[in-house]
Amino acid sequence: MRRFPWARAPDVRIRGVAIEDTFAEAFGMRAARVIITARDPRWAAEAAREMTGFATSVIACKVEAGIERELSGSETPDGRPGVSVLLFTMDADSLAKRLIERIGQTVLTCVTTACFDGLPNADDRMPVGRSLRVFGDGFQGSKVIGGERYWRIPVMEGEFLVQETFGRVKGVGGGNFLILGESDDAALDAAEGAVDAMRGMPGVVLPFPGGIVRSGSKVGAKRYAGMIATTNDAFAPTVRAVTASSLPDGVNAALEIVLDGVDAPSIAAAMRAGIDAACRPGVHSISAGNYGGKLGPYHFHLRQIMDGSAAA
Amino acid sequence: MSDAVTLTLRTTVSRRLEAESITPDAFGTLGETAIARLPLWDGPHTVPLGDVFDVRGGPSSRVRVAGDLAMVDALGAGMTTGELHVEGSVGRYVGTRMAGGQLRVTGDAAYGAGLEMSGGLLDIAGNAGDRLGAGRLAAARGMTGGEIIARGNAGAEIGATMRRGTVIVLGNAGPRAGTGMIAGNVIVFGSAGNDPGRFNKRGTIIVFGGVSVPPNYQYDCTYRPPHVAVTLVYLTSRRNLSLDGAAAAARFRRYSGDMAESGRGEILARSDEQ
Repeated sequence: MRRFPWARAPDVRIRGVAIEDTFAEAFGMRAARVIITARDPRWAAEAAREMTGFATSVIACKVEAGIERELSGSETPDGRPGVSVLLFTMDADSLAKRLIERIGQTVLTCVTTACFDGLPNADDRMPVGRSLRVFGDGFQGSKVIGGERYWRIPVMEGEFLVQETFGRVKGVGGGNFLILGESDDAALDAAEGAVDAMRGMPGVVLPFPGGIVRSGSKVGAKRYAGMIATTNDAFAPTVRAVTASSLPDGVNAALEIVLDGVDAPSIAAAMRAGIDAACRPGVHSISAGNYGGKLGPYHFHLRQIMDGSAAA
Repeated sequence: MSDAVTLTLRTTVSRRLEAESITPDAFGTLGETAIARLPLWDGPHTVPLGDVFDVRGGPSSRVRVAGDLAMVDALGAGMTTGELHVEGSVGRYVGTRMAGGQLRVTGDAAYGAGLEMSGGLLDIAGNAGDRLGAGRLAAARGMTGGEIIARGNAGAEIGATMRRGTVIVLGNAGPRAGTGMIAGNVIVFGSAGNDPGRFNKRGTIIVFGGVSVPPNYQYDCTYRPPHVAVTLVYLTSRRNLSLDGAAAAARFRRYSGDMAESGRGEILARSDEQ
């Protein structure tokens, strides 16, 4: 069939939900994977939840973090149950600082835990355990096991074990898609379904509460010069009449899913699973946030992702 | 170029021979004829390797040696790379000053296996003699890296004066294990003989069977050392050791010592308390 450049792109729908012909624009970040183990899954999860708290956006939290997945004893360096956590920052130096702060305050303090690097093949290493060891006030010791150095820091419960260095890789932050619902309930049901489908997928975390963002933002502000980010009024239904709205007729709520990943293919795979799960009755369409392609080097085109033909 | 070099003993060796020339490093660049010309030491005299061994293959850094080598010393001495597989028992000083590669012995190893080793893996399927992974007598420093596994029992003074690395004995160890240790690990899955860890500075001696802790060590607590769990996972997953499943969850009595030194060394003795 002959294609004309002025012809409109064909309508793409999944179970009746329109997939807009747009793309999510994402940025390069620095990523680390931390493996937290404990006597039982409860305490590994406690430490992981603390570690990933207040880590939704680098705008104010300095780091974005989330739980990647739970690990069985056969997947961890000490044979105990664990949790894999991914952390992301905008630059390399601050990632090391955030790891030292967060491991020191949320894992070192949590009973029965130990902390390991989850990126052993990364050449770029951060001296995390080497910095934390001084909490031992000279009573700490180290052990080299299989070529890796671990620090043993004496604590009131016994010993906290932390790997000397953690790997750092170039990751991708800000992958996203928007669920435009006919009602607030429909949008939330779809978003919850999307999150359930994406949770546990390798190499990806959803840093916002429950994996869902209701306060999507735009860069800068229309009225307040000092604001780095303000509400994404183009997708806020209550101001549809007084702003240049991007909401189609019949849409009464929009929710955003934000993804950070260790690489673009991981994000594309998770977006594919999430969007597919979100396409359900009550959802008008799926869109995505971008800045016209001028800011972020990673472009996740929704239609290409859904037909499996491209990743960023 | 061949897949491996195979040395087969031609006759029984009745006098001690020193075979420092048998290393994957040397064989990796030499052909069959050149390998056969390499010297073995019979006291002050040299003997061509080809007079003692039938040589097949080369160059290759994968070496297989077969025969009763109990009178052949220093196999793999100073090797830095490749694989040396010895089928049978070996004499003294196997893998001494070894810095890399893998050296496997299917039989027993006599005195001084892995002496002053600094890297690589020495895996002995049978028993090991005295001073496994130790230093030369009166040397200030013994083993400085790498791993030694003795799957049978081991003799006296294993890991003596070691600075770094790990010596693992799946059976029992003789007396004075870890004497003069500076740092590193000695792990004994059976029992350890008398007087372990004398003059130990910062080394770790882990004993899963019985151990009589010397009086110059002081009891700290009974707990689950997290680094022991990591070590066990490493040994089972990377070194194919099949270990007692309960070992990973075991508690250990921790003793600090030698108090005549800095007291920063430790003996971890598996406890029956759960």
